[in-house]
Amino acid sequence: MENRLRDSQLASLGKLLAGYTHELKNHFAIINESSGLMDDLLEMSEGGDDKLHERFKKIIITIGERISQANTMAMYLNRVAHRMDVPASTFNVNDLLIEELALMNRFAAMKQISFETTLQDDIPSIFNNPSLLQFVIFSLVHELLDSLESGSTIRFFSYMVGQDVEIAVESGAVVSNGDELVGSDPMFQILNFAVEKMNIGFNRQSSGGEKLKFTLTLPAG
Amino acid sequence: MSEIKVLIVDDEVEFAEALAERLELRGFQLETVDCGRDGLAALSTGALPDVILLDLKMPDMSGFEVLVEVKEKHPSIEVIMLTGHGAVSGGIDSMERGAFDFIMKPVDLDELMEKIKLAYDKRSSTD
Repeated sequence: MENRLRDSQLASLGKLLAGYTHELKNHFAIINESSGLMDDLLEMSEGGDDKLHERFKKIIITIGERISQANTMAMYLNRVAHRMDVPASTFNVNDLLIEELALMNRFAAMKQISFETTLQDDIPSIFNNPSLLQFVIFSLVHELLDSLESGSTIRFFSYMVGQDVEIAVESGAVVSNGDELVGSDPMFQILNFAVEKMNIGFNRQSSGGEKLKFTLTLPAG
Repeated sequence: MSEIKVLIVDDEVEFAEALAERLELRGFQLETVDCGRDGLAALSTGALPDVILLDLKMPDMSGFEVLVEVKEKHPSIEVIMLTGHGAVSGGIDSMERGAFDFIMKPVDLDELMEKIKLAYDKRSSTD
């Protein structure tokens, strides 16, 4: 019953998020068309102040660029939200990583840490709990962001090993509290429970006690 | 191109009006309505549009319902669905119900005009 309650709670949160991201896209569409129309009208206008004309053009370009970025964020948020619709579904881990990292990029940018991805193109889709997997990745990245120095890079890989799909997350630099992160941190107790629930492999490697590498192994097919 | 008559059916009035004006500036003939019922009513009076831009989600009738009625009564009118959804599933479902194509909001005007022209060409070739 507790699991069903949790699933329903997540599904309702997902529906709210999905509904509002849809609504956001409508607002973006209105702003986009309105600024586009302003641009058209500006093009048609004759005479006037050239400098002012140029300034308006720049502002319209900025609006367009920001709308495009905001729309992409809303699209990713919408997809993340829809991943909570059902406890299990078929999905591609690359899509899941791309959307999650796009959303987490803000946290990384605040700490001046960058993400780097090397994703194998022909990864087959897997059947599992995408929302829970995103939670695990979110938690790992969040822990690394807290532990790494500014200017570091976190590297993400996806690749096939036999019939399995693997996702690797590498710290790319020395992690001062690396032993804690691979040890008995309460967060890792939750993560261990999550990977157990998904029936996937979870490996934590600390190379020379410094750089960290987390590997998630997901059965394909 | 000035012959192409486009009907926009969308409950987001500001979106529909701005888009209509932009398309008019590019030589299309435009009409807008803000609900599915008015969209269907527009097909029973005056000249028929060549292409309908139809919002998928509207409060009175869904875009799907309007699409089915349009294709039943006027199979040669081509319909392009407008959707704000991140997923493409709604657009693909619409094409299975007879829509010519679909486009995501916010729309790329060049891409939309290209789709309108292709839809018009298809309608002209079947008339």
